[in-house]
Amino acid sequence: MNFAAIDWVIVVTYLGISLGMGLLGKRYIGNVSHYLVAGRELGLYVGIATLAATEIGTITFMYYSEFGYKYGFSAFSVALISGLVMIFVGRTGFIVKRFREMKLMTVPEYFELKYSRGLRLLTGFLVALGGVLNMGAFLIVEGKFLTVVSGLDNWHPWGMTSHQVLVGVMTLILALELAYTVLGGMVSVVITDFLQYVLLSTATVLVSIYAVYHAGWGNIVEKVTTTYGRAGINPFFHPDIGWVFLAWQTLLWFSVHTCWQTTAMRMFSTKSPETSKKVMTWTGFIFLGRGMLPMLWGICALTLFGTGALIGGVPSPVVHGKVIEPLNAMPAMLAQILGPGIRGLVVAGMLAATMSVNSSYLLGWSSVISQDIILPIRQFLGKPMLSSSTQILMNRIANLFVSLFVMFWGLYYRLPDVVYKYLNITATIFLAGSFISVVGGIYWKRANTLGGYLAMSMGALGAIVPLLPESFTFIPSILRNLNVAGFLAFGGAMIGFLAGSLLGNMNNERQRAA
Amino acid sequence: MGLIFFWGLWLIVSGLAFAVITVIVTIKGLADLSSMFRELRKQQGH
Repeated sequence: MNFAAIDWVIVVTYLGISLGMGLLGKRYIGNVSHYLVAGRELGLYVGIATLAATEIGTITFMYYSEFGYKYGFSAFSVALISGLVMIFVGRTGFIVKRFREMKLMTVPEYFELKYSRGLRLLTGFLVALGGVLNMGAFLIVEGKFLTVVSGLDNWHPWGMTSHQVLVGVMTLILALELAYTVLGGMVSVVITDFLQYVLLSTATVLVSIYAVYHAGWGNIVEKVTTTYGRAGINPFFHPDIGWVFLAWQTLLWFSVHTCWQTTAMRMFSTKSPETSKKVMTWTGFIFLGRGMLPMLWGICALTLFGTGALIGGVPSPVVHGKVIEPLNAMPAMLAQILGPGIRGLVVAGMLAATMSVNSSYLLGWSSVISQDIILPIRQFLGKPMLSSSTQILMNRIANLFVSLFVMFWGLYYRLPDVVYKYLNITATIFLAGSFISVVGGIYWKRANTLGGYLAMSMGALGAIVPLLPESFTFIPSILRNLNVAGFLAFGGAMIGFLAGSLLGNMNNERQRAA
Repeated sequence: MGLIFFWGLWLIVSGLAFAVITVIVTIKGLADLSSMFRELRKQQGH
């Protein structure tokens, strides 16, 4: 066990305070708007805190540090794109300002306002599918982090195996965040996000200082250059990065910052369109650090532990003579370099990050299931509108459903080699089509429903293909390459949207002429 | 070495921005939170 008594005291105290603050939010829930968008009362600073906390979780630290471990300094290019695109979106108000003016509660809602109820239903289905598959990786990765840092992976109470301990940690994380998300909705999420943001940021800065101090900047540069050569410094020369991946990343980050449900919900919750722009701009600067700092931790872990046999050009991490996965190198490093007290503070910070992300994502995806799938289906069937309290109940049930799925998916699905790419491709399932349809809908007069259907279908198809079982041998291997598939999904969505809109308009003109 | 300097510079910028914004948000965010509670109470009153 790596944890000292002081570490446990810090972690348990944090959990108690966080849970108490979260439950406080239930007092302020009067209707479904309070539950989903906090009554649209978010100011600038709380807006920044909740947006940053929502998108910075233990999962973020884990996949970015793995990325840094495997790709060296070239990994930084991805962080740079995510931050700079966010600052651009905030400064210009690209999409987000218009969304806030429309007083939406979910992204698919836009599709009914602009296109049709049927397209909203299709978008809602794809958003829920991509979102829940995406979140399916969270619990298992977060559970691994916590067990490795605390040393619980070597603890076997009542003869339990390491896997059973991991399942126990995953269940505990889920139960804690469910307790307040189900009851207090967005208000609880915002309150806890604020506390969690302060803690996770403190932990991030502390870990960065410790990691560089222990690894040494000179050693870091030498290790990256000797291990990866030019590919570790220049992303265009890295075989797994290159311009196709960077182009996909640019499109993906534009779509994430505008159409990703949990990010968009923060924009919908702000006091005004101007506030939403400011929140986006300032959070963009945080996003630079959100990517670069954990990548740096991964590079430090490479410097300290990257001494094992090369697998795919990447040295395996070796800790105390034991070979571990590159994904676990960063938590293993933290377990070694952080002292008692600091370790507890950092783990509390990471737990904070975990809970803030998971609670927001649970709320985000369950709101899409209830508002954009169940409600439109009821309307199609001619059923009466549900009362606000019944809608809240439906959201809570959807919350429980998503939680159970995430738990089982995490346990039974085998993640691909690079977690970051899995998360990107599952997000692309709905982001490619929805981003193209939203941009077209807002900025192009000829956009129409047929274009929207084709964009959503072709975008989803391109991203789903690499996730299909290997036994589907008729699929060309180039389409299984995640970089190519991600880029093609956006390309396919754009072609579908343009073709559908032009063809649809021609049909409309013909109909009018007739 | 040029690219290493480039990445090093961005690391410093991102680390400093992260730390400074955290301090500002921590100090000013509390006032924002209490304002949100006040407005939510008003909305519930109506």
